[in-house]
Amino acid sequence: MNARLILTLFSLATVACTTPRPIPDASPDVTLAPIDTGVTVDAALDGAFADQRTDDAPIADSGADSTTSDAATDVARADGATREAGAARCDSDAGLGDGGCVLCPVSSAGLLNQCTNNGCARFDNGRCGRLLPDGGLPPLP
Amino acid sequence: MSILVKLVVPLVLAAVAAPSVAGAQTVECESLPGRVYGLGGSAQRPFIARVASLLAASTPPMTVIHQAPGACNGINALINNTRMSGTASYWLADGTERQCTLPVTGQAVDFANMGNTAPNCPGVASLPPTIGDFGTSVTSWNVIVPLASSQQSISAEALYFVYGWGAQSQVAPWIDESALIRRDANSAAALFISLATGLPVDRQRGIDARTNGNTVTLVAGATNVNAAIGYVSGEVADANRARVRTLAYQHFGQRCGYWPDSSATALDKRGVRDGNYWLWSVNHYYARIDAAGVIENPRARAFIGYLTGTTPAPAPLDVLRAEITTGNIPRCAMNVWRDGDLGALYSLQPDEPCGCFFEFTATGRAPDSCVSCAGGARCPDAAPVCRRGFCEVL
Repeated sequence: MNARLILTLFSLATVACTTPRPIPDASPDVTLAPIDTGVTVDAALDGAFADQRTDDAPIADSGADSTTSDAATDVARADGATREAGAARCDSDAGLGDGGCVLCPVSSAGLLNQCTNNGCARFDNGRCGRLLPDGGLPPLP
Repeated sequence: MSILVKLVVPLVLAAVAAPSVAGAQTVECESLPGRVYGLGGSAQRPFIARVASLLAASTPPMTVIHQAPGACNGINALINNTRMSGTASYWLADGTERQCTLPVTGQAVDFANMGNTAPNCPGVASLPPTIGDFGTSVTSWNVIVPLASSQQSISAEALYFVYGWGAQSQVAPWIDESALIRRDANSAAALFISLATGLPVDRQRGIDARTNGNTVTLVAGATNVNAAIGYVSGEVADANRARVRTLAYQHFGQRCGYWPDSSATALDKRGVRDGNYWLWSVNHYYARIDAAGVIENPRARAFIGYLTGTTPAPAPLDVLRAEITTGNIPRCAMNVWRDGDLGALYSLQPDEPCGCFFEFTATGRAPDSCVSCAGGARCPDAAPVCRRGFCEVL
């Protein structure tokens, strides 16, 4: 592992979950076509992925807030991320790779995976040895 | 269910749930002024205690007399006309909790309280038209561990295995069933863990703690700190942050686990308010209503009216502040909402947003984006309404 990669991983761990939260709206989610399928490591440093952090490692809150502000203007776009159709605040984002947080969440699943300033700690379901191969839950014994 | 069981079960559960109030003198409940009798869950006990003490200080005073044998015991008693008996808690104006003795013939229940809707309770197929359901603030449901636990988060899948498979779950370190603290099927906390994971509530393994408070006691006192785990309401978890710690929760399909707050130590409830945190519900109060939907009992009508905001609360009760300072979230501070127990999330623009006031009251500091208008300052166009000292959106 070279120094550049180590620096990259460190940076990802520190920026994870710090993408500003867009203000929720009430239109359907629309999946964006990938804008840049050749995302580089450098580009990834400009954004955040919820699944790119150390398992079970808590990520500190950035302290930012969007209670009354336009908080969605300085976010990075993710390949496969979703946004509200026609939402101007989502149109100036820059792209990242598959698995990114949802920029303009509307659906329940989108809200759960929205881009946010809130800290998080991923639980690795690989610790659940009884999960079925497809990730499903077996019946109780 | 036989009449004997209906009468005795709540009494036994109430006896188990009744807190020990050292040095307190027990009085007859009927001797207290402005009595209103409530029965239900222990999840909202800190809030009920706060409101009760403020109402005891009002003029004329109202005395809230409450038993907390479990969420569904309250609504079942209300529906079946089961009377409260034994002893119950009430609160003095200074916040002191005391016990009083209920009439030997029992006492009718004026209101029931719980965190879930009635149809999710055992024995309640649907809410009868004679019972009104009044939603108030929001509470989270928190998975808790001892302060010294090495764990930071848990997923829905892991919770299913831990509580459904017990020692055979293979989800270390939660594989000691004597350290798995659970509740029974009448508990709102247990119902929400089961609703979230798909685990039948009557199949949960572990030790039944009987109340939210006792869950904290058992988890905090566990000898194997890494194996211990339990679940309680957010306000009970918040009231016991010196004893237990809340895990981040990662729901099915979620890419990361989130806390009810923006971090493990914050008090802002951003995880719930923004929709990152799945485990939350509306606090429900129930009472008998007439054909017009009006609560029949005048004191229950006043009490629930204070909580829902339909009746002005008497000084010194400030319901919004009481909700916030006990770890609950008023609807006006929510950015998302849901219908029913753990229903799908959707965006919410409250009628009169109070996010800035909420964060200021909950954390002691308003976010930088909030503008104070306490001194009569003009609010900006983006948040033009001065509400409770802060410029908020319309």
